[in-house]
Amino acid sequence: MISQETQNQPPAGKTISLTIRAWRQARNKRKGHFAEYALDRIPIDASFLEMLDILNETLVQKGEDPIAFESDCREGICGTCGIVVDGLPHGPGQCTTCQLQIRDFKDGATITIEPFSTGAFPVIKDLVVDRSGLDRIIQAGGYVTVHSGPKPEPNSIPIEHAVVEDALDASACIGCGACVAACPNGSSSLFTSAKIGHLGLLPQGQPERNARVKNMVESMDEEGFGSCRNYAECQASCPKGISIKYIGRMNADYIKATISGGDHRGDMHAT
Amino acid sequence: MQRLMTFYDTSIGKKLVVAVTGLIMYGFIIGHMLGNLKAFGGATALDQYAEMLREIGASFLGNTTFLWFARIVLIVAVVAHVVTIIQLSRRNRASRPTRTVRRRNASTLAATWMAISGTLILVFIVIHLAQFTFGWIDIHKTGTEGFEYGAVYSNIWGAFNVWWVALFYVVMMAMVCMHVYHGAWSMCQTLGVDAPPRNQMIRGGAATIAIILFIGFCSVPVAMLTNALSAPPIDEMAVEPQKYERSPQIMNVSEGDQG
Repeated sequence: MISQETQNQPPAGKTISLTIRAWRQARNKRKGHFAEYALDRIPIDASFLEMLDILNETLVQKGEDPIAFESDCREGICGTCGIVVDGLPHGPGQCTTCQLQIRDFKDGATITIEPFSTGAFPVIKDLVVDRSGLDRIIQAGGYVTVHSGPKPEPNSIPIEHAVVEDALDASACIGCGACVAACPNGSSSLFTSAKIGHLGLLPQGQPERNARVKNMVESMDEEGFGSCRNYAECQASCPKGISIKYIGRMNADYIKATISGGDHRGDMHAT
Repeated sequence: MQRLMTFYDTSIGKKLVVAVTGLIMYGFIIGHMLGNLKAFGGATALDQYAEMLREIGASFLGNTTFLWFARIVLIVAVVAHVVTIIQLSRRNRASRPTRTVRRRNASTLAATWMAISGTLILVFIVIHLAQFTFGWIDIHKTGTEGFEYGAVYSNIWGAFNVWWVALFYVVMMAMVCMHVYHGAWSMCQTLGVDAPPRNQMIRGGAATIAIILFIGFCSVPVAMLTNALSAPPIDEMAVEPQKYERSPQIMNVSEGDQG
């Protein structure tokens, strides 16, 4: 007969103890606060989110409300997870929160975890924020029109290799919102510019190029994101290492689009 | 017009206004710094240079017309720069209502101090104009002549020989140079002229110009305080004495003070 104690014992391997200072907020309109949780015997091989899973299990066992947080693929590619760890979005290192490993933290450390909250990212609960503002920016212009017939021959539109690479670098954006959380102004310029750069650099993105940049930039302002002041905090906390050069490109594109006054073809509006 | 208003309403449009007005002022301070260096050519050179500024285009525009044109452009630039920044900051504050424990990771001191350095520069401009253009603030070393309209070298020599005036200018120039360092490369980003192959050059160039500006601006007060630049000749009447109606009686009084 195994006792409860032995059951909870992690498998062989080193363990550490941590103190988690977590942001608790029942819902958006309520005032939030930090709550401290002492955790011991966290396996060193656990990931950061597994550590939170362990913490939540102990909370559920005690009959308390578990800490709400988002995660999906846990492989660093979907952009669902997002926690400010010790004051840095996605924690130290260039990775998503799910790629943080417990082995990177010191035994006995106190870890502060907060949501990605800004004016445009209101807290839904605890560490979960509403990032739908980013979706609406995408809806405003983050697409290309393609005909729905048979697939075109891939080599029919030759694209310079450097341009492909540049567009691919921008397309690495997973839309996690770390750039907004990192920005002292809560600006989504890096996200928006990555999406504009990704589509606007390629020939397929040219028909809506002017309308795209205008609509996405205006939507970004309507959503209440702040303005870019070139702190470059976004670039430092982007898990995909997207450069602020795309912001410069977006600015130039926006100025050009304003001068030319929109697209002269591919404009699908009925009016 | 509608298109222009929509443009100005977006954050990028506003940033463009800040960038362009900043560029105008950037050009001005570079010119101002080069003009200041005329002090090393002596009192006559500086005073003649100051007089020359008033006479640009005088042959067909009349005296000081060009100067006033430049002044108006600068005043409009300062007002537009400040007003737009206030509008942007208000939006930025709204987009960041909660300030929790966030760590700064990548921002430079120059970037985070933009608002502080900008406000100080605005105050400094007022003090600077009051001191050396209008002569409302007349702080000068005992024994030197007070503010006199048109006697540029003598005016700054008297003021910079008060150690704390010189120190104030050096500190303020540090603020200006921090502000223009971030401002200059930020402007390139806003105008979209930066690109990775050029970024190193742009950042390096912004830093180099900022350092040159700092050294250039500070060289005059430091040289005057350390007596590397000599005192103005007491009867210095560099440019057309009768023009400023500097009567012999006044000169006698100042000489009497010294005695």
